[in-house]
Amino acid sequence: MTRRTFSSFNRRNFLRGAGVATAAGMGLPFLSSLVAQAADEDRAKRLIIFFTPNESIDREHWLPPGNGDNFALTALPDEMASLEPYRDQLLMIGDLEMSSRLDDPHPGGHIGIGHLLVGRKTTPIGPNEGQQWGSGLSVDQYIAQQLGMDPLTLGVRVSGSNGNSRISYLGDSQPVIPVTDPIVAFDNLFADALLPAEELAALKAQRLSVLDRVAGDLNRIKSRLSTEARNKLDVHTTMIRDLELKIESDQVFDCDPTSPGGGMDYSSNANFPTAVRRQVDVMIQALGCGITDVASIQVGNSGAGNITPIWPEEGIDINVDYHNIVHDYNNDPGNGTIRNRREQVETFFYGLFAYLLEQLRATPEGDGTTMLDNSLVLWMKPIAYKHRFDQFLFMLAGSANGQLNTGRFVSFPGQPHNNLLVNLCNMMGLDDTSYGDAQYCTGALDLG
Amino acid sequence: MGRVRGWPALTAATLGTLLSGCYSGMGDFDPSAQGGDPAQDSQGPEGDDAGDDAGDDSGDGETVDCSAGPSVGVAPLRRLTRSEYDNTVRDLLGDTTQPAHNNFSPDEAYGGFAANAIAPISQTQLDEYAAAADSLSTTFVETGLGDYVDCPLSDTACATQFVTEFGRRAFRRPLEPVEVDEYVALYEDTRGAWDGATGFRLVVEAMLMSPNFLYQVQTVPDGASESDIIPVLPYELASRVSYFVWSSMPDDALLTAAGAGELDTPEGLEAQIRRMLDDDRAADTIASFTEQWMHLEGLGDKVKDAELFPQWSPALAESMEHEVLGFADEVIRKGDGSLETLLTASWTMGDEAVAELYGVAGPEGQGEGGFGRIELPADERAGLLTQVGFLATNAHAAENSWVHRGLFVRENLLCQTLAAPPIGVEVNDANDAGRLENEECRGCHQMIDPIGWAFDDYDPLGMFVDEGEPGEVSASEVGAFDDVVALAGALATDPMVHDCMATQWFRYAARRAETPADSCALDQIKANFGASGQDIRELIVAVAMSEAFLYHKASE
Repeated sequence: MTRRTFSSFNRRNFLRGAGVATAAGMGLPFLSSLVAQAADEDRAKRLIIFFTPNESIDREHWLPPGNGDNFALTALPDEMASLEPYRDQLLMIGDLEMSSRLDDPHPGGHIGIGHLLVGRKTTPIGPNEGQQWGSGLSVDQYIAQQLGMDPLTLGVRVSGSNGNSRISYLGDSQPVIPVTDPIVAFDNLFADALLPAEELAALKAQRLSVLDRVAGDLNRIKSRLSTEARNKLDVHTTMIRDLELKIESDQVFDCDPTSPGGGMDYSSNANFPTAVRRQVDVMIQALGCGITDVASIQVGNSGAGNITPIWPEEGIDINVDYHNIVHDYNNDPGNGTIRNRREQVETFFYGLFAYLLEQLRATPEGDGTTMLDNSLVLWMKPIAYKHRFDQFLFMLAGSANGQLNTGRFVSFPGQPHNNLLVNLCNMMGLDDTSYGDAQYCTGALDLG
Repeated sequence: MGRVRGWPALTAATLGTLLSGCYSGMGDFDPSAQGGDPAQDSQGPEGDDAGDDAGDDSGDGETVDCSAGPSVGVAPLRRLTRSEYDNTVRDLLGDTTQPAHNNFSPDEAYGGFAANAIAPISQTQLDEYAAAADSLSTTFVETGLGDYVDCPLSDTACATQFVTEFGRRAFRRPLEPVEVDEYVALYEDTRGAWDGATGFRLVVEAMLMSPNFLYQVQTVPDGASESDIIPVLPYELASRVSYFVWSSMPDDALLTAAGAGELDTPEGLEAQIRRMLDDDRAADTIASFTEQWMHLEGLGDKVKDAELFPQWSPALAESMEHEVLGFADEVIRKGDGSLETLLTASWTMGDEAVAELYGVAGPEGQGEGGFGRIELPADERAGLLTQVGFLATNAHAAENSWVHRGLFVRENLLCQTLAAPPIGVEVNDANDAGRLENEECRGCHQMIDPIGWAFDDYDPLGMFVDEGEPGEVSASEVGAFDDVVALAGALATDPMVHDCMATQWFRYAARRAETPADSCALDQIKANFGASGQDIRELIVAVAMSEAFLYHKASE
């Protein structure tokens, strides 16, 4: 295995004395999170979030066989056959409700995506308030900040830039833009390390000179701008500082990353399944190389009207977009053709999740365990069946370093989904008792 | 595509009930109202508590005294959009590789058009800017620097001159002496460590990443409060005008005019606007507006049923988009400029591929890329609404979309913003006549679907199939119509449509939604557009000369 030097950024080491002003009302990235909680050493080694688009299929379809609200998974629903090898490491969580969404005055079926990891009502913008951004720090970014890490935020075909297309936020109306091309994602993480040392040193010095000049320009014009503009430029300045720290730092990792390879348009509908797998591959490498412990992949956006499963090589060939496959089924569940399409697309997306679990399990951690054993994986969708905001299905996977009692189904009817976000914090070693808007949170779920 | 024929007769009383049940704004539905309730949208990232800013002091119903001095809505700081970025590096560096179009994350829309005005920058975007600046500056120093300098790159005087001249174009204003010094210092430090050419490269790279380049900077002058309505400073006005009329940076003539105070008088400003409107760069704005207003950006990404439409391909999608944009340009810049022509012309600017969809012969005397004027059957085609690009965009893979086609007429031609479906209601944008039978759906869909039915004369690729039904634009002067050709003719003469086009261009120019504080400016724009006989060119001039353009307000 080749030993290579990667830029890494254990932010805690940089936080001391960084002294960056905090912008009023704006969430700033890592440098501003000066107070990192002392994370429990027994925490899950990693948090991985896997978002898949559109709503869950009806409860009859996703409910595994069993009785009551807490039972062992003896079998999985037909559509989840691809997850069967990981059944013992799955915890299916049924029937949570998205309380912040139910309380949100804004209509529109697909806005739940901005509530998902934030746990607050959304902030409307634009004519007719037709567009909503998430209104606070999302739990993935929060946990990463608390651990002093830069989270990896990836996506595929997320489309647009609006409240229907972002899961991660640094603050109110402050979406984190995912990297949607696996090649770019890989290069951001690893390209520098593949350069000869001398060339890299020159590149770093030049980049630092440029960033220093840019930071100077930001400071100079800020004093002449409005508060609103200054707040934006404060975020910009912090991003620049972060980039500088990233460039200045050197850390040695034992790993040998492999580029996902180019030669295709990863943004196209045709290459969508491949793009998802390549993003998983990049993420596994970033985690394996120790670059970060917090990563998410946003597969599609809320409505998925831009995803049409014409992928014959994948065993699915439907000439209707995912959005309308879902609506057709909701309107006419008795129609065999329509029902079959709905089941096929559901099956396909569980299969993508299975690919993630497969790669995690295929990555050994050196002590006889696998990456899956030590990680906490969250599978989620932005809305529940028929665009409702109750009866959600979430899934956790991996043993979270022994903290999670998997192989079971648990049901929490009426409990806000914010509670699950608290569990994520706790299993990542943070002692939070509430997440998001406290009025929509009653504390961590008893996952047993 | 079965459906219920006809719909319950609407009396004036039931109409009001239905519409107020659908209208998304506050208060009773007013069909003459423009664009819902954008007044509530001013809260940007600085809004502390989501959705709690109801105490907006320019709330609905408040009348603005137009004789009491300039009035303008709050405009947040915004970054260049992707097309603005690409056009700017084309004009600044001669680089036509379109790095933003190819590599940047999507723009954030505000007011229906790309704006990048609400969310602050994200790390991914900073990385994208850095990668583009690296690549652009490298190419520029290798191939384009010679156009700027004919002095030794190792010479500080040479670098100083470059920083001064190039910086003025990159920052769209003269650099202050201290800024020149700082950039020259960057050059000298770099030259010391490497060489002069590297010094020039880093100067360009840093300028391309500077906030002075990436943002549309609006300074609050000394002594002014940020809630004051302040006149836009000359160089900042030059940027506003050029990014509106050209979607790109000001040229030397405009910067010089700004520096000479020529933009301070209406005559001087108008002369510049008209000069720029006559320049080919105005085509970029016509295209950018039309592409966004017509929702054409997603056309190339559309999936069509391969069995029904074997001819569908990315190349055909490109031809369709090229046709719409080429037609708009032909009418607005080279033709009579009239909205009526845009909405009713029985000709277009097509190539062989789209001509085939229209069932007519391809263009004679083909111009660029095989495109040229083609005549269309006048009983089948009337302007933008019957162009295949619009029809294919607003259709699904195998069937038409009553909702998308109908909503376009409501929202983009009449500026009526309808409420989103209520939470928990099964929504379906596939065609479903049952919606009008359903109490929950009917309020809004009564306003949408009967328009969409008439569009069934055109299939999901826009080909004429003559399967539509007569329609009705309820609560509009247009009323009942026989087919889309008749609809287009009625829309073209409807004052609501005229006012709506003025509003759409205002939103595009300001990159935000209008607020009540903009009503005086907007009324003037509408009046000027009307006086011109709905000439889009005059509309552009009116917007660029409006109070909303000449003044700035940073916060309430």
